[in-house]
Amino acid sequence: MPRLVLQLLRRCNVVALVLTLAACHINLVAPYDDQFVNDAVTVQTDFDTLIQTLRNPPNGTSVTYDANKASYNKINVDLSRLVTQAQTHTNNQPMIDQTTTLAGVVREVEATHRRTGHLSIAYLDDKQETVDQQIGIVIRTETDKKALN
Amino acid sequence: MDAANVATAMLNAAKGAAAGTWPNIQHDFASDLTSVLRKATRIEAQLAAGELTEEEASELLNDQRKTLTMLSIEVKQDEAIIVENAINAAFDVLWTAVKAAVA
Repeated sequence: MPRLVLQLLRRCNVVALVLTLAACHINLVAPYDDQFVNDAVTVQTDFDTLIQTLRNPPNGTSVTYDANKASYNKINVDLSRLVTQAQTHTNNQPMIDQTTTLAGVVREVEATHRRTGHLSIAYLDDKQETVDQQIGIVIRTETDKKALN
Repeated sequence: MDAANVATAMLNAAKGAAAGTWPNIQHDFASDLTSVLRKATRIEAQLAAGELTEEEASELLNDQRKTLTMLSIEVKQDEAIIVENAINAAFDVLWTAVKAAVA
């Protein structure tokens, strides 16, 4: 084969290698998702609103489970949306695991309310503080992606 | 392309990326751990005082364990990002060296 052709082929291989390397930035973790953070804030707002209502109900407001079922439904939808938003990205297992754990902790409130019919003030205080801390950790874990890149 | 020099430069870039990004996180894991411990102590006192039922206290204490799990997930993710940055920084050095060799 003529030397010129060999040189050309070699040159093409090098160019191909260069192009391959250029595309070789790895992604071990999903990119930051602003919508996910907004969804987490929505969960916190709706959860805190319910807890505040149960702790300090306005006149005429019942604190029974049935009377607050609509609020629980709203929070369940918020949680489903949050988990789904985490699942829309590849390499996002940490956020999926965190939001699934958070959803379990929040949904226990509904289960306990339905079962016992009454939630004590101490329970509501402790649960709110814990859920708020956990939502803070979820949001921070998401924003770490931005801070570290 | 001087392979030895490129290797050293890649290693330095990876080290720089790892060391340079961690301070960007404004974490206070100690504060989170202290908060969990404080809540656990309070739950115990509330149970003793009859402000919480045993069932409620059990659930709330289990929540604290879950908070710690979530913290450990955060740490693992952040470590993965630092590794990602280090590998990509090393790759950028290799990419620059290859481009220079081709030119």
